Amino acid sequence: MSPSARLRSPGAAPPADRPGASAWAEPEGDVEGLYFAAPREGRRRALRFLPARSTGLGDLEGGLELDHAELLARARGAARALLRGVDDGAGAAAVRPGAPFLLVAATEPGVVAAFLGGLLAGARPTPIAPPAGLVGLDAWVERTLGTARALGATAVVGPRLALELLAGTLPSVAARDLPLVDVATLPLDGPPCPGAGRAGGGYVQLTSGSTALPRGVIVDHAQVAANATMIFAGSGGAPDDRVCSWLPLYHDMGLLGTLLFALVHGLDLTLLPPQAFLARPARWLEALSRHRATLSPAPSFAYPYVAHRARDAELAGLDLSAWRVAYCGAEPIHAPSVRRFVERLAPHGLRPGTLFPCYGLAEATLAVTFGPVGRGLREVALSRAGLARGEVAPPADPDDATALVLNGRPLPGLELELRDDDGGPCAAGRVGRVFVRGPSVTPGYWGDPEGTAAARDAAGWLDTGDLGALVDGELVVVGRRKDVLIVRGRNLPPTELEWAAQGVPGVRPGSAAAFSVPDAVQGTEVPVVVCEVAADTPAWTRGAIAAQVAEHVLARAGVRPRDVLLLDPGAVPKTTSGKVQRARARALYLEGGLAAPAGVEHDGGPIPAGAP
Amino acid sequence: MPSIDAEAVLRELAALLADVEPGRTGGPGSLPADARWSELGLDSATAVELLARVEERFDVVIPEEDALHLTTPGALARFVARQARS
Repeated sequence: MSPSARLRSPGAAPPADRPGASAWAEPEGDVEGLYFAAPREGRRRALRFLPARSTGLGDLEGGLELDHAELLARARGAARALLRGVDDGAGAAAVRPGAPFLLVAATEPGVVAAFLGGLLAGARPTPIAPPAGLVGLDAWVERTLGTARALGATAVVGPRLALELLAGTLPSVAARDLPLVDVATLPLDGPPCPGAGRAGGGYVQLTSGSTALPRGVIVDHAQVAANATMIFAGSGGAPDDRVCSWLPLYHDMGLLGTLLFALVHGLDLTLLPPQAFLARPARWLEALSRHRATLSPAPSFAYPYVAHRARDAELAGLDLSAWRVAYCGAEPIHAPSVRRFVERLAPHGLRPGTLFPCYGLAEATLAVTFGPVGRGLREVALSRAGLARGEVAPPADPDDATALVLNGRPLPGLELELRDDDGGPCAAGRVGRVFVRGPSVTPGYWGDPEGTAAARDAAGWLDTGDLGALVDGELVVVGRRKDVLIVRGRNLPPTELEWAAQGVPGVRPGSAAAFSVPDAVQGTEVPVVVCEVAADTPAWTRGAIAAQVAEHVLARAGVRPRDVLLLDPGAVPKTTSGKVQRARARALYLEGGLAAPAGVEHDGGPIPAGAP
Repeated sequence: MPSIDAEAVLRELAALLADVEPGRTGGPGSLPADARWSELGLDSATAVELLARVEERFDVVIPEEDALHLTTPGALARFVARQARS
């Protein structure tokens, strides 16, 4: 094995003959001992929930606070009620040990209690997104029911508002098969759950693969313990660190990266609902400043978003000097966009070294590599032409240069390896497929042994689907082999966009390819759809087709394509068996090699939010 | 806030949305009252931003429960006009 193709953090790796072995991976101890600091810290505050709405001067003081003892009591109460049936006349058990249940993960105390109660009950809570206002109500109901069926979920637990939407569409017979439990009905206290051991329990993290339905990544307690411990070590954590987050609890960075991370280490946690951040991004900074937070994560897009949206008046008086680590990841990091955030907030105490590059994925529970604490973002200039050939080389000239962020080294206990297309170790200086092994790697996908076998080999190596290179001993992600699109930290299956495009009359069947491309202004990626139409399609029809493609994609996938290109037959690259080659199409698009006939290009307009 | 009718709110909605989403035309008539938001190109994050701007502009509160059912610009405009009057 070439040493340059394999990375391991010094001093903390498991022996090579015991893949995944580590002190944290032992499935011993009870579940309460892992997540609850109550016996030591009973009356110290565990969680503070800030309200979704800004209510004036006092809103950062408002919300609801739970100390460690109250949190444990609520989790026990929820566990018992979920197992025995909530006292609403129905009386049937909503959860079953070992089986998933869906949890509509709005950021509120009842949802956190239900998640933790589900863990204590030995069931597998599976957080899903709550429905959003104005849009997507029907799509939300459809997606929720589809996910429940696919996972074999025993119930949907969540806030009353969301459940009412489901109840309105569920025929009464189906309702008996899928009980709906309002988190407000869960008791605030209960006895300890007998036999809530760690072995075999945990939760399911939904993630989008390249297919339409989300996949359920199994996260056992052993993985939670391992990754939370790694994150703490990799962040230079201390018991008096304070965590603050607006990330949704159905996102791995929000669930494991903030909620469970803080609980496992007994850290003070302040939660803000995601809609509060989106509506007024400065509230995140106000919460950080007010509560002297030291650790706070966000997807890469959030930093330029704040820089664009926050008003000077909102920033006045902020003190961000306590913030040590601003985790930045979940999507490719565009350093110049993130730097605008640093420049804007530096006068308010933000240190440039606070920005902290991360790489990870749900299949590894969350975090895989971290940069060094306090360094900030560091980029390396590489040759674009070299990368296209799979080589890591300095740029020939400025036009050939692409700046990529160094994502740091594997966390303690994880091994990272680059492999070539044949599965062998990658030669030094080459781009390779990124593989990861260690105690936080998932046992597999829920109910999907084939998917599991494709992602994870017998020796425990996980294929991340990403392409990477090693530069100065750090991981640089140069692309994705998996065709998933990542927009604003959200994974989208390309098939969703492609099927939508192909539903438009005039688009040739099987010709659509969807991918995402970096947007320098927004610091996130934006979707592009290319497809073929008959060569004799008149220009005036093409305009209408492109507009319709954009509309269909939005309705089905929830994102507006930045660009829709209609090409002549044969112009979208395909394999010999006729499957579209998304990575190839993307590369051609970026090089300008996918030309649409003059005048028919449809510009879908800038993607919402964050554009200047 | 002086009373305002739904037609006037609808015209302003177009301008507010154009502000949230540069590249949209914010002119009168650019938001059909009865089209669904999802057909008009609104994603969930933009919807949250638009709601925040509308609340600020008209000095109203749009509870989450109501927002879920305001699936067209016309419905939102009528709701806002009602709230602004009360």
